[in-house]
Amino acid sequence: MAKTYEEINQRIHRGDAVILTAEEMIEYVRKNGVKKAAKEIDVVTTGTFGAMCSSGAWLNFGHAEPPIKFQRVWLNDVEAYTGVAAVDAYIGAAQLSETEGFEYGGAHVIEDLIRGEEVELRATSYGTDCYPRKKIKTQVTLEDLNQAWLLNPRNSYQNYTAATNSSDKTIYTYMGKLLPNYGNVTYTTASQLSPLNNDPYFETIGIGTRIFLAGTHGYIIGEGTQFNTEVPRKNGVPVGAGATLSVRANLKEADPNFLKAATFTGYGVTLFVGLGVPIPILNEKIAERTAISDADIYTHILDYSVPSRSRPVVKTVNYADLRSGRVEINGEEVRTSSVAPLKKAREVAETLKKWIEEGQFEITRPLEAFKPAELRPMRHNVHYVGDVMEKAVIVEEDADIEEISQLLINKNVNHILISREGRLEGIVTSWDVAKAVASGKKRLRDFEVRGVITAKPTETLGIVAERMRKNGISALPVVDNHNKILGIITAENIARFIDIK
Amino acid sequence: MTKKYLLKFGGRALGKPVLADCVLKTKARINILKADAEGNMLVKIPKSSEEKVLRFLRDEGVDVTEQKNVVEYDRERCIDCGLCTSLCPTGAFSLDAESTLVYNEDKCVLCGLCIDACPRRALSKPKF
Repeated sequence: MAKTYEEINQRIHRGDAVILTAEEMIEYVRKNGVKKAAKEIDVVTTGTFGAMCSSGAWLNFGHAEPPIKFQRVWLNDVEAYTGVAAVDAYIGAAQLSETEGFEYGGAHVIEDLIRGEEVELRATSYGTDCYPRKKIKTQVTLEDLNQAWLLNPRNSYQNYTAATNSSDKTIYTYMGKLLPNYGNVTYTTASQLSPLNNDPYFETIGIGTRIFLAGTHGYIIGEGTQFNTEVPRKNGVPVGAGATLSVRANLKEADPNFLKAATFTGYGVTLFVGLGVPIPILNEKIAERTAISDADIYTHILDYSVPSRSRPVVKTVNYADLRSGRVEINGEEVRTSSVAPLKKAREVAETLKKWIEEGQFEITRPLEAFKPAELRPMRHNVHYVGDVMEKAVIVEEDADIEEISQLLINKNVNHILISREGRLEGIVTSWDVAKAVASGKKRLRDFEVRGVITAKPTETLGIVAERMRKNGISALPVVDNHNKILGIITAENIARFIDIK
Repeated sequence: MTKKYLLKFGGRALGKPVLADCVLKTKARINILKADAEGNMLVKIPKSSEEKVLRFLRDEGVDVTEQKNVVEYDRERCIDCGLCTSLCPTGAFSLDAESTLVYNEDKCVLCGLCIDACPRRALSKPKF
């Protein structure tokens, strides 16, 4: 039996609508089945509370006397964008302070404002006939502003990837601190509570949908940036990062409990945003989708130590695995933790549920549906090792110094790779041979270099050039994942390639 | 609660297998929590053999001080993300059934791995 938006709103007004959170819905459907759930339940509330860098606020400060047209503006030393009219500015959550660096940024300015604290406004300008003032410095509070809108271009990812680190060094990412040698795994979604996982085909969510945002009523104003509907799905939900939302709310009504600034060491500043979407249970299909649980939602654990936009998949897991606190990687138990607090996501879904139950919040039919879109990479020239590498000169392990010296001269190279059945064992350079001769060493095993630093054909030239520089070497053997020799890339290859370009 | 002790090996305590001798003599099940290259070691000593062990170590010239310091946790700043739980090697941080962060100070060995990982800057080194 189908319901309409109007019927559900009438029930909300009468005070007899039945509202469940997405977690409660799982239990309800398990006990009573989808048919009964579709009939009895009116709205399922969702919630997420995650680090959402693509957030910020448009602020209007009112005019100074005499007036100024901001050319550049700072709030507590954090620069805001003001390439619009005189006293409008956008403070981006991820913008860093010019004096405190990573420890303070746009997100902290937003948090300070909603806490009612004074913020230093500093602006400079070139001065015009209509806006003669050239600089200003004053203290303002949120109350002093004409308008303050939280306006976030990309929030509430529909699922996201998980992260680990295969390298031998700790790395610092927007997914948190990742310990070496698969030391931990981090993930960042509210999974079974997350808005877009509960309506994965956007049957009730669209432009104009009223939502919970930062503790007040907000609206979806469109697809978020990097909105992607072309990710392979499992049980209806994309495996990895899918759709996103662009949202707006009145910052003056925001609750500091649902908007928190944060710093990820080595990465930067971000804003934790609380966002919840009510899903009207119009029919059985929608009811069934809101009953999805962690065990049915999958994601890829990616290796964040690989400096590429296409990071290798280490393992595909579901959120019941991730939430258990441990997953297995290469036979070892690895601890998992979430970047996004589940407790706060629950608080969002519970608060939204309460608002609807108390008749303070009506559900809305979207004004317009989202349009399918795919995620394109940036258009620019990328060059890979595989395009530039040359054929390597290779000897077997039992080669002697005479043979190696002749090869260096005859082939006119400076590096010779040593292989055992096609797999890389070591490397010798002309300098190593000279040293070996000087010290009377004759056998290869006495002067070859083992534990060689290598490159993969799919790595970019920039990455391998940096690796050569860091290690003070002029060539890298190119190998596949099984250490099979594919070629060699030298500083000379790269220099010549750049010259041709 | 089992106490944690910081042992500093220097002077005449160097060059001898002091801890091994101590374990053999006292039969105490000493748990080494942390050790560094500067000769510092953090250990847990069972209450029953605490007195014997401390006397032995001090007699051998080991500088022994009770370690009460742990990572400081600011509940007000914490948002219960639990990111620290996969970094802490001793399980001092965990999420309970309500997904609230629980800090078991007794397990903290002050390795400091969690401090720069906390996105809310709720964790810090203790002030001496």
